[in-house]
Amino acid sequence: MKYDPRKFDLPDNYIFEGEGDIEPYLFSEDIAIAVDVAFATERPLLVSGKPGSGKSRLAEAVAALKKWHFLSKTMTSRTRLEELTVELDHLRRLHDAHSGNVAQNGKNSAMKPDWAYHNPGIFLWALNHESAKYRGEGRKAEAGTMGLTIDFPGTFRKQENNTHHTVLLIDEIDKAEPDLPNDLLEPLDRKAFGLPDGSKIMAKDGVNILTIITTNGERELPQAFLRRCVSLKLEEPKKRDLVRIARKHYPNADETRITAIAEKMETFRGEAKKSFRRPPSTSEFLDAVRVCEDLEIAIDDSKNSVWKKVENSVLLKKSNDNDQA
Amino acid sequence: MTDPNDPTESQQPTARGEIHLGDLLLALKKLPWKDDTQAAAIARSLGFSLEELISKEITPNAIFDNSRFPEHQKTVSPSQNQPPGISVPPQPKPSVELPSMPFTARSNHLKRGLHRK
Repeated sequence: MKYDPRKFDLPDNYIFEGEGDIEPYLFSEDIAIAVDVAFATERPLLVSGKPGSGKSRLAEAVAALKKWHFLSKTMTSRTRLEELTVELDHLRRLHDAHSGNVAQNGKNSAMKPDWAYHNPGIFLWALNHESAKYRGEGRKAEAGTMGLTIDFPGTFRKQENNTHHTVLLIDEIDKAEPDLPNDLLEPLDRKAFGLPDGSKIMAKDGVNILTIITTNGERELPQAFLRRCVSLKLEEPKKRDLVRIARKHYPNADETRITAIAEKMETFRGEAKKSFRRPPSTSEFLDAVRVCEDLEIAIDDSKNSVWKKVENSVLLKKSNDNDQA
Repeated sequence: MTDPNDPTESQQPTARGEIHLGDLLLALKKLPWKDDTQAAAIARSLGFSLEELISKEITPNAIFDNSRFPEHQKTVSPSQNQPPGISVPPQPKPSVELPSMPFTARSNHLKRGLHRK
C-alpha cells in the first residue's frame, strides 16, 4: 500500500505538476516519508545525492505543495553564519560616517542608528518576517520613513491569517567551510540566534519552518550536525521513472525517443559503476531529451551520428580526445 | 530583535539536541504508516536502521579504534622477529660470486723519513 503523507498534500500519482517557474517533481515513497518525518519531528531534512539528482528542486516543490514561502542560499567556501542570520553592513556604515563628517561640521547627519545597518539573512526572514523586513520588530514606521524597508528575497506566498511559514533551503552545505555546519546547530536546534550586540532573535510564535539542507557528499559533515537531521538519500531513478520524469517535463516529447534515451542512461550507469566514473545525472538526462526533441535527433548508435556527439557532450561529458583514446 | 536588558526577553528557547528514540516514537505515532517497510523507512530517515550499523564497520574513523582489529593482527608484533641492534635492510645477493677480500689492518701513519728533506 502506498504511503499517504499526512503533513503535506501530495497527489495520488506522487507527482508535483509544477507551478510557475517551478518544474514538476516526481516523488518516490522514500522521499514522501522523509519529508513527512521532517515535518512531524520538526527537524531539518538533510538531502544527499549525486549532483543533478533533484535535491534543490525537492525543496522548491515542497514549498509549493505546502504553499509556504521559499528561501534559499547556496553555500560557498566564503559563506559565514552572519550571512545566514544578520550581517552588519560595515562598508555602508563607514561610508555614512565618512560622508557625514564631510557634510556637517560637528554633527553627523548621514549616520543612522545601528539597526539600520543590519542586513537580514534567510534565517531571520524565516524566524521573524517583520523583524527582517523592517530591520527590527516595531520599526515599521521608522524604517518606512527612512527608506530602509527590505523586500522578501525569495518566493513569497500569501498565507492564511497573515502567517509566515517558510521552507528554507541551505544548498550544498559540503561546499562551506568545515565549521559552518557546527555554527548552524543553534539556529537549527533552538530556532534562535544571537547578534554581536548581545541581543537574541527567536522564532515568532506560531511560525513553522522546514529547513532542507543539501549535500553532494564532497565533504564529511560533523556527527553532531548529522545526528540532528532527518536524512534522505536520493537514489538514481529507474528507467520507468526517468520516462515519467521526462514526460512531465516535456509532455509533447516523442515517447519512443525518451524511452531510448532512458535505456541509454541505464547502460551508461552500469558502465560507470564498473569503471568507477560518475554516472550521468537525471538533469543531464533531461538535457539530452530536450536537445534531441528540439533538434529532432534520432537515437542512432552508428559511429559518426549526431546522437553520438550529443551522448558525449551531454551525458558522458567526454572530450573527443578521450573518445578516440 | 530583542532587548538584552528586558528580563522578559531573556528566556532561552530549549535546545532539542540530537535525534533520539523519542523522535522515532513521535514520528511513528503521528504518521500514517501502513506496513513494516514504511515503518522501517521512517526509522531509517531518523538514523535508526540496521544498514547504518553495518556501514559503520567500514567508516574511516574505525581505523583509530584498536579494539576493532581482528585478534590475529593484535598478537603479531613486528619487533619480535627483529634481531637486536640496528636494523639494516637485507642485502641482495650478488649476481656474480665475488672472491672474498680479506681485510688486513694497516698502519695509519706515514713511514718515517718521507717528510724529511
